[in-house]
Amino acid sequence: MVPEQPGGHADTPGKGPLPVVAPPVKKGGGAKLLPHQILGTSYYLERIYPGDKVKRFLEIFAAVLKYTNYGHLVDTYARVGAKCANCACSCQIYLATQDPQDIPCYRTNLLLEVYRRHFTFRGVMQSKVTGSVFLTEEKIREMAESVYHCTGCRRCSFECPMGIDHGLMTHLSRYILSELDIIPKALVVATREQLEGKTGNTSAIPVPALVDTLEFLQDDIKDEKGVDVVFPVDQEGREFVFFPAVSDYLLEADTLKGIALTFHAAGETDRWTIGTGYFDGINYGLFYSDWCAERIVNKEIDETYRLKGKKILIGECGHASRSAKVFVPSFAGAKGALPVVNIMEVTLDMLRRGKLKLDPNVITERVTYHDPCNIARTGWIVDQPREILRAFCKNFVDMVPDGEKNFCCGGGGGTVSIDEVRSYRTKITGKVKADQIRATGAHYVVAPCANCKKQLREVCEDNDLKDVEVVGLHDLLYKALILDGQGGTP
Amino acid sequence: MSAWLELARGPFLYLAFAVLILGALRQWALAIGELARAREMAGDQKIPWRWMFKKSLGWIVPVNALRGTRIPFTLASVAFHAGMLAVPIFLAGHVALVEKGLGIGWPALPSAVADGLTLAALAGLAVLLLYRLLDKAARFMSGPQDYFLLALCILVFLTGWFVAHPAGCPLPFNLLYLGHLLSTELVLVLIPFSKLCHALLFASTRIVWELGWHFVPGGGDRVREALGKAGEPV
Repeated sequence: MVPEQPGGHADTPGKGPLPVVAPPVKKGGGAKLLPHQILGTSYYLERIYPGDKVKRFLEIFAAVLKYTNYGHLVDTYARVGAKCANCACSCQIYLATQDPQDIPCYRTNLLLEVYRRHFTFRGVMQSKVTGSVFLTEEKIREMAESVYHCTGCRRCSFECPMGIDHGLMTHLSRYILSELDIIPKALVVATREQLEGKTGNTSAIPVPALVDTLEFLQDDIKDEKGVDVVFPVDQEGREFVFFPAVSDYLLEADTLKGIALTFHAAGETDRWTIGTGYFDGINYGLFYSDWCAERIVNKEIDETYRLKGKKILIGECGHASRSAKVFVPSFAGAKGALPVVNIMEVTLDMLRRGKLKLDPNVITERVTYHDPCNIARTGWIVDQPREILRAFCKNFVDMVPDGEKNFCCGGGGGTVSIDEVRSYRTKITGKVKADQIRATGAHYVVAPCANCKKQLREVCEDNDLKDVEVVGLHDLLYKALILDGQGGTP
Repeated sequence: MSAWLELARGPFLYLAFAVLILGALRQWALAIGELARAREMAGDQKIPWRWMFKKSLGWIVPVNALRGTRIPFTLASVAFHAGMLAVPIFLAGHVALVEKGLGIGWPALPSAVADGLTLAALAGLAVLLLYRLLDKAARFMSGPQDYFLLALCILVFLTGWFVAHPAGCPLPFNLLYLGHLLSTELVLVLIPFSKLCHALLFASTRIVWELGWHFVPGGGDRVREALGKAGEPV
């Protein structure tokens, strides 16, 4: 059961080569090794806990069981898990690799077994009688690699007859490992800047640069559409305080322009504002740390209160939407919690109220829609974007499967930010998605999520999908909105 | 043999039921206590009961799964569970035994229906066993316990079938009867202590899932304090 080389998939045919992964090396041997080489993970680590990792892992697990809500979850799952492997058929990673170590239940069981052997009466007795210690550095290593193979898409949760949420177990395993300093460097560096850096956001955008960017976008819209559109900044008392994935300000200008133009066209620019105190929707805490998740979501709440806003508006981003939706009531209390809405819900509302006029002759190419797991898996946002797209895209086709049961883009769970695992993401986790996109024959793949967009572009590049353009929903709206006069179509 | 049979029909049977009932009460008490604690700790104490009820029901009546990729697995599983629930409680022979012993009775299934359910359950169990043996993923996940429990269930139904239809079976009736009693008693005893526990905890797994995502305000800080990391940067 224990893999010989947990660090990589190199020995398995059909799996693309992973970059620089040294085989696990015993401590104290030879030349100085980087932390990720010591541990043998395919992603870079910044540092590694210097002491006894096994002892520390168990201390962390014990503290987590005591002070959080996971105790009962782990205990129940450890009791009922039937190991039927039904989940395997729904996991796109297993479908691509056929490697038993990629079965969701196997991954979950890595942690459950630690619980059974170290935290239950039976397990502790077993260890006392046999004198064996179950958890080893080898097992920590295997878990560290395994939980970052999973994209946390939770598609497998539909298949588990016992109702085990493998995505939540992946999150918990990652949380415990993160307290042991085992976190992909890409994630921790961004989170540190967001929580403790000067700029306070994951892309390290200073406020003057943000303001410049917004002015630049306004000029752009003026040039392209001939209208004066405003990105409201620091306006108090607005209905929505806007938090996109902050990387959108650098990478997804069209999405942001589309959002601003939509508000403008509906004549409702006075409903939203961007806050300079905090303007980042990204919450990597969802991927690896409850501690970070709480601090990040509190920044959104504080900024909304500072601006006397009424609702938290999240841009086109799956994990930002879900983390706010779930964590705002979790951490701030459900009573009187700020409502969290996704931009597509607002746009659909404007469309239904007849505030938006869309030209059906602009987007003539075939369009398909990719459901970001974090907003679609629970059925929260599935029909809304389709209703918007069908309103102006003549040639809209759905992928198979779609909606709640969509396949992940392959870059979920923060893995999209880990550039060193790109070939794994595009050739293995993204393979099913590439096939799905190819089958639709679409030119535009609408992916209303910053992570999905980056990942899908790389998937298309690496899987020879040359004619595909990955865009946001508001990118297309930007092209198709009909503006007359000062906006506000009757 | 007859001494064993007396033991199996008398003290063992009562003991097995006692273990099952006490074990179940313990499991339920723990589950309710822990759920209450989890809800108390959570910042978001709202629980979407309707959604969870629907989801749980979706697994009891797995119509959706019948459109899925594992139709034989689903059918086999449903057939086995239907037999496992209906036959022990509603078989005429069982009802008569309870009536004789405890003086309470309830309507029984017609014997043809009970026979059908038993055969369906046996067929289901055979498919589940084949699935464990032949499917790559299931084989990888399966340990001795998984095969043992499956074999035990097969034994319960097989011996039960031949106790009800002894004609044509080469084995002596008493041996079959003893086998049926002992294997059933073992299943009852193992329910609270093995993965068969899902029979008791099925109803709570969705609540556990939902509450699992209701994180605890300040939980992360307290974990770091306990680890001596309070105040440390990210």
